[in-house]
Amino acid sequence: MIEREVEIVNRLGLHARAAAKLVHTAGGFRSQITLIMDGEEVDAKSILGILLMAAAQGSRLTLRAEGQDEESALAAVTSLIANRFDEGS
Amino acid sequence: MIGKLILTHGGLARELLAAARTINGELAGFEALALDWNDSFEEARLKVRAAVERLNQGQGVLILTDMFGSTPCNVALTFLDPGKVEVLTGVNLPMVLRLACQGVEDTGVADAARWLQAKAQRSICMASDMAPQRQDTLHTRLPKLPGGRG
Repeated sequence: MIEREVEIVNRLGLHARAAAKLVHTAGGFRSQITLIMDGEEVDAKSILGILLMAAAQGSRLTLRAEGQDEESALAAVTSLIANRFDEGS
Repeated sequence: MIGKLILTHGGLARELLAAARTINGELAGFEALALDWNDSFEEARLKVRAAVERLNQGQGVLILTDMFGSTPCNVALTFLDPGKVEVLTGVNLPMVLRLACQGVEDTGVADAARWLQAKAQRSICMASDMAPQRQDTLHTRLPKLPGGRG
């Protein structure tokens, strides 16, 4: 099991299209991937849970991955968030 | 793959599916059927029957209708066949998106319907019930709109 701290840097935060991209990215891995914010844990493969986190720009999350491909899963999700979900701002 | 039919009056079904596609990308196994307000019950039944037959690939069809008691729902209920054709009412964007975003293909249509019902019910929330720190986040960190917003 590995964890990493990340910050939501895109302007719109974890809105619907960004959340959908996150789910698709997470869904490409076998590992269980969890987002943790303010002590609340949600499954990174569940879009409604992610949306209910209401993670705005500047929010700090902990990403946790557990499974055979946990390293690559965490790298992919971290990269997606750092790249602002390819939104440009 | 379970067939997913969004069934409403007016253009609602089409718009729900269009919104889900915009958010999630192309959706497989979905169809939107917007009944005309002037369709007779029998005309509506023919349209729904055709859609259910198109969508049914052997794993069953889940019909998402606008609200219990509406004509679309009443028409859908004439096709109810537990475990094969299930009807879930109160269709909304979270339901369509949740179904679209992660498949439920390993389960039967009845289990899929119950799973989605539970997810959908949890997706309706009153913002002021959220934890105080979450409300602060919403107030202070949402993007500022031109002209200012409270």
